[in-house]
Amino acid sequence: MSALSLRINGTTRSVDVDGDTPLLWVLRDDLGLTGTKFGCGAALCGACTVLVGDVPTRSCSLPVSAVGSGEITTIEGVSGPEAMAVQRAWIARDVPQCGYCQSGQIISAIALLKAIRKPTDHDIDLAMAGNLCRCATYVRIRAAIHDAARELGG
Amino acid sequence: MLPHIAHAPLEPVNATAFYKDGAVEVWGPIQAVAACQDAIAASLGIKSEAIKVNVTFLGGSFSRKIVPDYVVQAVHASKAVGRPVKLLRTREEDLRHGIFRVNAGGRFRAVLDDKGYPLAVQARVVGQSLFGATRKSWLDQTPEGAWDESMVDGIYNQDYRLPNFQVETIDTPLPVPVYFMRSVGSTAAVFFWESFISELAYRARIDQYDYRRNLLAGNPLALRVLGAVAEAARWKTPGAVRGIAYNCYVGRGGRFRTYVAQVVELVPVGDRLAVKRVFCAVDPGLVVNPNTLIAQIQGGIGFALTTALYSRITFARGGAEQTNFLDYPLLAIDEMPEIVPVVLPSDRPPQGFGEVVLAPLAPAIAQALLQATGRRIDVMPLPAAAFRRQA
Repeated sequence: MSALSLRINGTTRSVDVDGDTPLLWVLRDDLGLTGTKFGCGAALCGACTVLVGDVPTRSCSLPVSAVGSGEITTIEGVSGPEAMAVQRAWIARDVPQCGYCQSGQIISAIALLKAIRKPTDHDIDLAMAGNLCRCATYVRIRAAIHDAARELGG
Repeated sequence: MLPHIAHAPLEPVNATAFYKDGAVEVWGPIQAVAACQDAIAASLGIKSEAIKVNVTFLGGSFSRKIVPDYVVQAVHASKAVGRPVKLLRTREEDLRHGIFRVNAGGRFRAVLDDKGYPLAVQARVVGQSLFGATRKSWLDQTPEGAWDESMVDGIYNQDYRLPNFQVETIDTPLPVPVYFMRSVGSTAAVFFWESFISELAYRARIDQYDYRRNLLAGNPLALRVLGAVAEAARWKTPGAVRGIAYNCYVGRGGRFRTYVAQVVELVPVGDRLAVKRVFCAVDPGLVVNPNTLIAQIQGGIGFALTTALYSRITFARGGAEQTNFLDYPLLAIDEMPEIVPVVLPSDRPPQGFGEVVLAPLAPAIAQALLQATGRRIDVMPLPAAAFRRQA
């Protein structure tokens, strides 16, 4: 066990964990940030996606010691114009069904819109194909991302 | 031939349990509370009233979380250590200890008239019986006699004109744990049945839509839904590689009848054909909430496409061989077709809907490939090689 200082959702949090603990379990079990979900443990489904800086990252496969001084944003801490636009579009389109993958989907969508103001369908395919949805809400995810881009003036 | 498949909800099965002084409290994604209480009670030899069940959101289930094996496991762990226990199966455990959808195979034979329409049909479906494994008391509840009608759901109660028709089921019991899965038997049975009809039309050199219309003459609700999807998809306009399929999903014991017809369009993408658009016409009776109905059409077709293209559980050394989404893949957004729903107005009372759009998809795709390549596809998942374009 070792004491680590993490930047999470704009604040500094201290945790005492093994350095090889996946970031996902530090978030969920040590910090109570349960909006980030476990789906596969192998970076295959995207349910555990968080932002490290502006990069969507699979927290189930990232040792907490590798985060360093990176700014982590979880679904609980998303903010800014892209996040607001995505949230509004997600609600307007009624995207979720079971909802389990959706925090990961939303994080990836925010990262996409930060990187590409007006994503094409191909951009959406490339950015979102790592986020699996067993309910297959993909039609509405795609539509909501286009809506959010329009709202952002892309 | 169709393999066993797994529900694979994105949230693996999990439960939190606290056993104390002969009483139990559990928390978890549980689809059937009373069945869960009964299972815990039977396992511990206590009364169901001593068990409090707290239901969390279900991160997908598709019937998997009706079976409370993972809750009972957590309860026993809590009893053993004398403290609350949170149990979360890894994806590998979730898949390898799945409660699977049954396998199925079929043989279909017809005697045809001089135009190629059936005079007599014999349909035989063989596989592990779901009711035989889980619901023996249901085996003698239908007018047709003692059989597992889920094995032939959409066949024995099908709508085409067949002057002579014999349907048989053969149970081949296996030690594989099985349970209901979204759309139950219809995903297998309607794949067989509609593929068989497709082959009859193909051999008769009659248009797939016209062939079905002929066999549905006198059934206005069936003809309406089939006509609506053909019109939306511009079936008669040449160009696209298309397939069409029909099914009336009948709730068990005739509780409801929802009419569904789909047209799939396959489009060249590189050296392959890809499912790029699906038209889906439905007559579900009175629609109470159009938004959720459309969501079920979109999501149900995506779910069915995972089954059609990818889902296969195999067994070796006493267990399932698949471990994670690498060897049990789910459809991703870049493979999701455009969906064009056509919802028909109806004065009938609201009918069932959550399962009904799944079954026609795979046979419609197989028919499109049959028409494009002349090759019959009678297995699921549909072989990747079947989508390769010929040079």
